Amino acid sequence: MDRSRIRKLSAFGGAVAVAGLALALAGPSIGSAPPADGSSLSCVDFARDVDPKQVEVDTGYDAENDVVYAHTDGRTYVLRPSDPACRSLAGVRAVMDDAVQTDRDNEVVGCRDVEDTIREGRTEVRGRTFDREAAERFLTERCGSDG
Amino acid sequence: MTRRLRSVLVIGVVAVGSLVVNAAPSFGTHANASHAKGSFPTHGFIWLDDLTFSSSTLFIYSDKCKSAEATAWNKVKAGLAGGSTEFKGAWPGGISFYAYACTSTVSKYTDIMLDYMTGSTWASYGHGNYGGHHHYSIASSSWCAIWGVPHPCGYHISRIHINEPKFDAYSSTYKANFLLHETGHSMGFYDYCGHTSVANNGLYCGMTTGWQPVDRKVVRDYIYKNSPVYD
Repeated sequence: MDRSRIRKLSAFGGAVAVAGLALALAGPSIGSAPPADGSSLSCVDFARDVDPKQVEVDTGYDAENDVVYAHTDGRTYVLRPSDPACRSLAGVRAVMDDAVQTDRDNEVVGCRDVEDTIREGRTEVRGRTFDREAAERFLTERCGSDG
Repeated sequence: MTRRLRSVLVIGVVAVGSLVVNAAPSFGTHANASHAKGSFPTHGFIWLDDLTFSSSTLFIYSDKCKSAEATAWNKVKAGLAGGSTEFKGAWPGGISFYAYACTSTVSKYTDIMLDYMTGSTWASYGHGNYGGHHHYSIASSSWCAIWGVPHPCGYHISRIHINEPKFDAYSSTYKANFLLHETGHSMGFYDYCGHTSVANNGLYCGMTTGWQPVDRKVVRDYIYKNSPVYD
């Protein structure tokens, strides 16, 4: 094998090695999950991190931190519904409001669920212990009821 | 063999090895990150958290109770049956979906709610030209406290908005597979096309016809990896 051929092979091998190692170390770039704790976030557009071919159609709402994780039209956002900056994003406002409204509807479930269970005097539901005191606190805090 | 040639060969082996490591659908580096949204208690349901509980059933409400739903829940029952290798003894009675009520109002025991929407309602929600959209709400801390667990404690509840005109145009088989996929979001999965999975979204890859072994593995080893086994 002549010297120039070896040089070419060497350069090619090196380039492939660098690319391969970069890929291996980088790992999958699609579907970058939003941070678990959204408490310090305000209005973050994760669109840059998302593979445009990955079309997420999933929205999450963490009422405790008032954060919406919105995936729409191939883009991913972490949003605080009360933040004007988030509300100015016309493309996601409806999705964001929908997530909040859905959660409000769900709260109705929680309240009914708990009220019924207290009334029935149950101590276990679906294999789990039902804490009556915590349930009464839940009604007070979340349902505008004194139980 | 010259020293330079040996160097070329070594570099080549490293390069190929690196590419193989990255490309292989190994569970640890590939499936987890792109296939599932995360683990309980941030995702999933408290009702599936006890891996020894024999009756691991999620209650499904639907405002239309279309016939494809029964087919879909049968597929869930078959795909998540107890005793599978991937479950490793967890959920001995399997995981199943029970069609609890036909109603437009969520109520006691709802885990997953199917909301069929007219075209105009769907459009007003800004969901785009898709067939379905999953909403999960993370349960509040006071709700978690009722069950004696800290916040977060999974979804309460999971709602699936369905673009009814689009859904009605699907074949009966596709309808069932579509519902399987959407409830896969309820179970903690993303959209994903890297391999055959309930997470395949029908847009960039075809819908799968049932839960796959790798899906069961993700449910057991990743989504509920923190769950108590009590053994």
